[in-house]
Amino acid sequence: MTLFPTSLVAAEWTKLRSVRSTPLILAVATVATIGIAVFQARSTVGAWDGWAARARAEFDPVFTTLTGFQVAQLAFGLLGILAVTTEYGTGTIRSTFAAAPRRGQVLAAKLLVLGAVALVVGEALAFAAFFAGQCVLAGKHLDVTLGDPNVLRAVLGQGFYLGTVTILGAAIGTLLRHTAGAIALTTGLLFLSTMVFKAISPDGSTALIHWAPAAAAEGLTWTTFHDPDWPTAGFALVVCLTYLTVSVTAAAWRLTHHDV
Amino acid sequence: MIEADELTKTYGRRRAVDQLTFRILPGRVTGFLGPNGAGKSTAIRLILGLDSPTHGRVRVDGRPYRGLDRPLRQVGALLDANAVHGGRRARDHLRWLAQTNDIPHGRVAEVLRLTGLAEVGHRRVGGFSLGMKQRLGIAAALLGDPQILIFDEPVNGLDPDGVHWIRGLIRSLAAEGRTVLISSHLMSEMQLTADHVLILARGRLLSDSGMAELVRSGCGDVLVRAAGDTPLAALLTARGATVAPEPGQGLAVTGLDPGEIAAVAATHGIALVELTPRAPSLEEVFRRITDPELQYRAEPHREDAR
Repeated sequence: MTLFPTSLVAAEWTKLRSVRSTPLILAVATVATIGIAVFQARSTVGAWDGWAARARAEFDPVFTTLTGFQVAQLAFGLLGILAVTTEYGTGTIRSTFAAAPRRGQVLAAKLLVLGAVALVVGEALAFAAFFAGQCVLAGKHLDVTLGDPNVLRAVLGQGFYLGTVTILGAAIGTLLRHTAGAIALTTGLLFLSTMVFKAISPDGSTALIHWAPAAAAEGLTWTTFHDPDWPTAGFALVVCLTYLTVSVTAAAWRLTHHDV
Repeated sequence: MIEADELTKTYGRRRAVDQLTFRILPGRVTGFLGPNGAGKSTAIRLILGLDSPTHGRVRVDGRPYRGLDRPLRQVGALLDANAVHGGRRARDHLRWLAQTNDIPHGRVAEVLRLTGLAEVGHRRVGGFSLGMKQRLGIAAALLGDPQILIFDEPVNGLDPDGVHWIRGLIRSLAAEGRTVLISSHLMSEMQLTADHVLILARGRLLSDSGMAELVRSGCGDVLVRAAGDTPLAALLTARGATVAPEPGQGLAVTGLDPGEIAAVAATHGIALVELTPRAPSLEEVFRRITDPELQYRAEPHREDAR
């Protein structure tokens, strides 16, 4: 009886790949992550001899190669946002729900497709940036391998974080139904929340700061140096899953309880 | 068949649709007729389950729309031709729609051909004219070969060829026994396509009647032109007609049908150059329907109720 999974998943996949913004966004993310990994590693290698002992101690060979993922986060968040808000902006959403009136299933199919694409591409980028960066760092023997402590977790964690951001963007897009608003809220949450949480936290308390998405990203991707403002990897995973659960639940409620 | 019972939708304090009860039957074209803001589009969104009614219900083939398994195979709808992603190719737009309802992929090329878009199926919709988008919207509606078709303002933005084409399509769909619902704010358009008309104003159903009945109900007039100076106006007035002059020596006659007018002219040896029954304008129909005295006559039960 239920129409679900495959037909709606196939339709959402067609929707996602048939607009130009999808390859464009992923191309920008690819260039940014791999390019920045190489450049960052090269500048580290070039300046290493002049670095103070403290800077050397805080140097994280994996974290260094993942700087470009700041840009990738924005790109992946945008991918999630646009997949939803362009439907509202253009009015396609009415065709969607006339064709598939069970809205919860449509949302599930859309998030499944987005999540799968983001996770596959995100992990591919994380590994590519890691290997590219380590190749350059090897010039000063600063490189690590996937077998070193925390390294595999950090690389996998980076791809997972991109998947999280994509779903978060799509959920926020579903809540706000408006591209500009969703971009503002998602960007604010990703990049400004640490600052705001820090400002409103009592001195020395990290309880709230650890709940900022950016802190969770650091918590997932550190290897040799750990700042106290960052949560542990396990806690960072909990933070990501909490954001996913809350935002998707709110999106599903919004979708099923409001007219389009 | 589409059945609405006391269908009501309130936005804030405004009643967009107010206690609509109607049946839309197969094998004929039914028109929602009313000025902008009458509630036509809202009623259509309620039928399609896009909006939830505040009160009452509407069913499609006996089931609420949201309960349909593969709705595109039962109901095809064109709401707003511009409601497509401009960056998507026409055939990709139809392809994802087909996928949602497990409609075979071959049907996409078929409906593109049917709507004259076969040559441009690979193009991005953003470059389409409004007329082409309208055709794409109709292609989407036909995708599941549904028994029920709903077209909201289908002739909007079409050139004369397009208008002619869509009228023919609408007529042929109804002739195949399908249920066809169209909406328009143009009486003339309705007269050309609809068999049955539901007149809406401010969300309320003012009239539910056959098109022929509506036109015959006396609110239209007949344009008469006689050759040269004739006493025709006086003769018609004497027969009880109301006669108003029209530019070009024409007479707008109400109260007599064309046959009676022709008979008067023939009896007095007056040659007629023109004898054209004219549909009432929407405003005239409204005036008649909302005229309290006429409404009183149209609803004899109200007397009993008092």
